[in-house]
Amino acid sequence: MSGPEASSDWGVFEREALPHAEGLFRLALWLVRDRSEAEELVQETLSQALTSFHRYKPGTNCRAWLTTILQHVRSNRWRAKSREPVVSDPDERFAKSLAFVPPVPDELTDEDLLAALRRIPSQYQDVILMCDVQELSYKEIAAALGIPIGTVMSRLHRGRDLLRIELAGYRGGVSRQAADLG
Amino acid sequence: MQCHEVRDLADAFIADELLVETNQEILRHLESCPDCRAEIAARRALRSRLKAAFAGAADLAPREEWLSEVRTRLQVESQSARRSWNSPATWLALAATVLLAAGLGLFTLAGSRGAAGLLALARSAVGDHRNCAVRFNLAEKPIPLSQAAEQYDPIYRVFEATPAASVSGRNGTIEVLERHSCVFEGRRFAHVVMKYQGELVSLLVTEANAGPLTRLPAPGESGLALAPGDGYNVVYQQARGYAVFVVASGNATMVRDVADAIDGDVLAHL
Repeated sequence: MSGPEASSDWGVFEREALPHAEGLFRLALWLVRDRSEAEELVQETLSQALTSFHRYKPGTNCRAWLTTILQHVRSNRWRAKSREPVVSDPDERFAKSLAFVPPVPDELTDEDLLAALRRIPSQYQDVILMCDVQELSYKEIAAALGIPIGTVMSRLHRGRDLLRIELAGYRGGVSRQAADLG
Repeated sequence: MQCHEVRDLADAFIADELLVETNQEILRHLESCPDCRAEIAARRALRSRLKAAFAGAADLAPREEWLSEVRTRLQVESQSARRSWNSPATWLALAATVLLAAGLGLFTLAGSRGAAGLLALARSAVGDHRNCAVRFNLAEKPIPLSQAAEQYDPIYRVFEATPAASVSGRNGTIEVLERHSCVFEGRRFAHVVMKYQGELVSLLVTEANAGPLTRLPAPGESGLALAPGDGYNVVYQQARGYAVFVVASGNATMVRDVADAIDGDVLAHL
């Protein structure tokens, strides 16, 4: 694939981009929490990706490229609906409350894990999912979310610590809220 | 390097985001510090478990039919971008896409909005062309357009004179052989049968918002199944709630010629 004409070929798009549709949907559904909205979000994301596929550089991380488009589509929809991002930046609020990070109990189920992730502030969820699940680099996460790399790093660090606090407080379906710990 | 520095850099270390020199410093520290080794191991384990939990969560999984629908819709978008016509209206060429739909064995749809519904409509149009214009093999006898206009929708009367009995095409004359209203698998069409370059060509018009449509049979199933290689070329346009198809088994250029020749007249009346 060497130029726009070749890049726009359906076969290449099908091979490079479509395998990520399921992962994109899972991420979208997690983010928007509504199945039909997630379907629309991913459909629009893939449609935009198809239209601008000539901009995709072969050999780079297609999943990161698609995730960036998804974030842009999501942001635009937010603006269109006059909705504000859910949580103000609490980085400083948590900064001094994490001196000790407890171990994660072994008996946790996957459902417990995801439920704990859901309980931490959303901007930490976003970077954790992009790093751990989507396997984006810090630079790619920064580009997708429109934040500095330093912020990506600090949110990842604190987000994981918050998650572990949530998980450590989890006993038989009962958890402590991370926000209560400060 | 101190323990607190290693903890601060632990995530970047696991994500392989550090400089080589910093990595080596951390590795040297880990050789002699079991607490930090345990910390790194715990963070790695949490990361792996989270990835597995997310990928395996059933309630986050997309619907299979939605995935198929997205794929089909994107392919149609891809084709329409490449095959835009020069006619005043923008027709959407679906050549070969009908075979794709059959190959995927799709869809159960309510209504005809979206590409999947469009493909289902296109498939019905192909079925009507084949079973009415070519084989005279419909379950229900066609009725005059005037009767259909009285019983179902006044729009049918438009096709008593549209397109004209003889229209100039790019490579010859398009002659109208027959006009009627017919039903294929429960869907009613206005049907104008034409002849161009020795091939039968159908203009088929149907209400686009009627639903639900039945599931399309996959190749090999009984009923309307387009076998591989049994291709029809279809071009499509939607206007004011009606789906307009031109269908023939001839080559795509010939079908497109017919559509180009008649679309202005048809759209003006719709």
